Amino acid sequence: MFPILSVIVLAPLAGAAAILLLSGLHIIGKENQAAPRAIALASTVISFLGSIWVAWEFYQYGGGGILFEEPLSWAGRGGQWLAGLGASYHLGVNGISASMVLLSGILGFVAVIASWNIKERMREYFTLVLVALCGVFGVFATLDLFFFFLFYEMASIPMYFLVGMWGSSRKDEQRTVTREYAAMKLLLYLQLGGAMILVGALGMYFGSSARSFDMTLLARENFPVELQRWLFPLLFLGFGIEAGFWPFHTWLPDGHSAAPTALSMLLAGVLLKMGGYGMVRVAMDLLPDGAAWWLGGGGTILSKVFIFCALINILYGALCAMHQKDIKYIIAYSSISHMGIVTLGFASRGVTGINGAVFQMFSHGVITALLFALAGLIYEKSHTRDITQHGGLAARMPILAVFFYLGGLATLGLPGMSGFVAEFLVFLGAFPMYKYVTLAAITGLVLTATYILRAGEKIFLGPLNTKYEAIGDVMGIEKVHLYTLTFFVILFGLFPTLLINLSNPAVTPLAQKLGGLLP
Amino acid sequence: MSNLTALSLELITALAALLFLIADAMLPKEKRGYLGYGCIAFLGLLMFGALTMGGPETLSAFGGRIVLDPLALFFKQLSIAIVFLVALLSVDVMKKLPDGHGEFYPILLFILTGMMLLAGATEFVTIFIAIELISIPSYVLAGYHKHVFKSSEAGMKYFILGAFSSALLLYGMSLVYGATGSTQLSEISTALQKLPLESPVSSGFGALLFVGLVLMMAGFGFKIAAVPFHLWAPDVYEGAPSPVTAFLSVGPKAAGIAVIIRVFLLFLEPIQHHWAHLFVILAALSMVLGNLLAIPQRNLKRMLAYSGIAQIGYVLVGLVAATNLESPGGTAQLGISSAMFYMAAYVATNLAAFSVVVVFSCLLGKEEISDLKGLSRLYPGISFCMLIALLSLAGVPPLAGFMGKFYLFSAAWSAGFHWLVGLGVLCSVISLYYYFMVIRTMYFEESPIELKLSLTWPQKLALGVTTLSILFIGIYPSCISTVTLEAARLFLP
Repeated sequence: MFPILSVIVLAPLAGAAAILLLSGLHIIGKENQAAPRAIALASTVISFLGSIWVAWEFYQYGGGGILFEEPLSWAGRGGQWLAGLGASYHLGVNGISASMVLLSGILGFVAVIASWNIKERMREYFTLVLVALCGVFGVFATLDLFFFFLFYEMASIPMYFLVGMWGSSRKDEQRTVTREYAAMKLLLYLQLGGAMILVGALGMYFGSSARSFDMTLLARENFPVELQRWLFPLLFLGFGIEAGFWPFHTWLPDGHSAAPTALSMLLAGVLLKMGGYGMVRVAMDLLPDGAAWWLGGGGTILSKVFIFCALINILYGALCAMHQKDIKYIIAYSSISHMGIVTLGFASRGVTGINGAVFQMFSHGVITALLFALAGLIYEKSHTRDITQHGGLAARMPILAVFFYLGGLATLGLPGMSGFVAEFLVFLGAFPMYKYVTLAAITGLVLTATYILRAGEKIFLGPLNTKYEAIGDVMGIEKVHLYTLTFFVILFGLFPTLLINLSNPAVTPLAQKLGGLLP
Repeated sequence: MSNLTALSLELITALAALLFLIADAMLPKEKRGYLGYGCIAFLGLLMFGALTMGGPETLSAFGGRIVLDPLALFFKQLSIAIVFLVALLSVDVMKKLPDGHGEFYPILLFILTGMMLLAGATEFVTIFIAIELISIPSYVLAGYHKHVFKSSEAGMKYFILGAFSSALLLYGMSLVYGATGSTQLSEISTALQKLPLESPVSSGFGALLFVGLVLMMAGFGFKIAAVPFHLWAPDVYEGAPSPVTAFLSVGPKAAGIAVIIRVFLLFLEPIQHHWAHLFVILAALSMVLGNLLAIPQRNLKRMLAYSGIAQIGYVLVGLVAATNLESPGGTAQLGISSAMFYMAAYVATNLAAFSVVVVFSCLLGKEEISDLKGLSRLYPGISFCMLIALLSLAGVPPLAGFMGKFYLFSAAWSAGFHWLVGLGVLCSVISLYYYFMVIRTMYFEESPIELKLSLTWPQKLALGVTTLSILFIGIYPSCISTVTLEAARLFLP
């Protein structure tokens, strides 16, 4: 069988190696812009096409199993990576991972397009982006916890350099955030999450009878309930830190806003999803009894903690977004709010809710990437991110304004866009479990409408700010990623079954294990 | 009849050291620079010889006072590698000294003899002689820049505290001898099994034994710079010439860990419930204090000194994992193997970092962290090596340091030290901060001046070998872990 997953995962790494090698041999010079860009584009297109193929094959298969399995035993003795510890290179996707691989494929491609105008230290920039992308694909494609952790680190460490070296600092009356500060904060938070995941993985490894990191084996393992109750919060919170879980969310607005445009798209689009994916695929799938206990089934106050945190995420994120003047901070806080909806969906433990949460991860990834791309374009043209400094730009940049409203309406959940389907499913699934929490969470949607429409109004509507008489609209290649992202927003809004049919067969047995509602 | 094969490496090295000493006296002054290259060539050949030795059988000499088993061989190879890399780093630094650099290489070779002897010693007096053979030349090396005040201060400080710790060690050994009636480790082990183990401390002999153990632990703890015996390290590291600091940051630690494994974990194993708790405390304190105190440092060598203290804390976690404090039955083999693996990874990583420091401090006289500003734009190659080294120290995959930490923490977890694993993982998150502050200085900031650096081939070789080893061990860890697992077979019940 053709190792399509390895190709998807390793194509970006090969691209990074090619850039490094060619610049090491002085074939790509310092001033050469085209070559690193072309290599990056080629490798992300390969991954993009591969991910579409994987998702399509999965859609046709429509089952709950694992496809494209690649158990390779090439490292060490007997397939063991580290002699004495069982860890092997084992790839494979189920329905949830397949949709996440597709998301990463899309975002990897558009991130390179969005980086088209990077001028400084091109070679290093694209090398780091490609290494991070390899990590992202790896996280979603691997079936081995050890490699999961390895890829997780590969995805998060380059972010430090990308934010710190190509990022921008913010200095206004609301806050002062240097890019170095934001980068270090992001690094420490993500690594704290990583440390918790590592401890959780070790706990599972040594608690299992198979002594293995293989997730297919661990899923069959019946861990003692005590151990599950102990490990689950560790893993859930570890992944939660990466998904912007309150009260560990503060790295997210600073990090996303300091990052260069393409990186904001990747951070919000796929890095947060690595957290969400880990919550469902590792924490909940491998430790179902612990998950059921901690997500509302335990009957004590402790088992309500995560649900309350999710509610606070939704409301607090939205309220913070309303208060911001900086357009990137508005989008970043809206991410916190929307990731709360993901957590709420998982916490519902039912088929509908988890399906909705997976859908929300995908939909939010695409929509936020679109919004960050637009924020980047606006900043490139007007040189400020403060929304109050703009005004009436729709007259000068009509295309950009249309895309902004498309993205904005999608994020507030307009029917016909992917955001609506996702949020509807989550609330539908969560309502029977937690009535009041869901009702409170739905008010978050009203807040979303407020802050997104307010941002749109301040930037695009009203009389034209005289400073921007000569400002131009988006042109040429800048449109490519806007069209690509909007296409997927509307595609999955109109045909949600394309995505739900991917995740549903994998979610149903999971909901059974968790003791949640079945449709 | 003694089997001298067990001692062959030590004998050859000692002879070579004497030859170099004579050659130094015979050669005209301007040609003494070649001694360094001779030393490098010799160490390369010795490394080759040591790698071809081996086999699972145990050789012993002088009535079992010296053995050559896989455990000893591993540490001997590691010692040769350390001294080889330090010699590479020293050549150009020593050439620049105004007078008498010729005795540097014999001193280095005598230290190597001591390190190799220590790895195979199984008798208290032999152990003590080997330790002194490492220590006394190290004092000389620390003060080798005679005209630099800081260097002389470092030498003096190291000497006084080192002599004190040697005295403690010797006193501890004498007490253990008094309690058990032998200096031979195997006989001590037999004697311990006969002692009333339930309450040995309440009996007179037991108290004697316990005090002896604590004193020995203090002596060894000083050599490996574990908290609370670490106070000498930052000052000595800062003052000593950079290649010597590079050696001090790995050499005594590797030798110390070798002797701790042999004395405590192999032969004092029957009474481990008396000393294992102390090692847990040493490990925890070293990790926490080493990492916290590294944060405010501004001098690169001082920062690496504290980082080295923290790193030895991790190694001690592996040794603790080899005891059966928490889980009866124990996982001694895994624990020892992980500690040895980590030691090898640490040696490669720290020497890579110090190669950059040597290039930097000895050629330009700069060793503050802020002097690295903008290094990545001027010297992408050198800063890449430093980057890899720092990432590996911080435990970022897929580098040697990460594999080592992963292996260690796995061993500790399976031995039941869950809280120690949690503490260790938390400490490595803290450590990210100060390692990445250096990376930030190198990569995020602009250089205020144009620097002129030109690397000689020994420096390039040292940088290349260490950086590639970090990557190689990280990507293919089985190459080391099969060897360490084999060497730790001694610990199978």
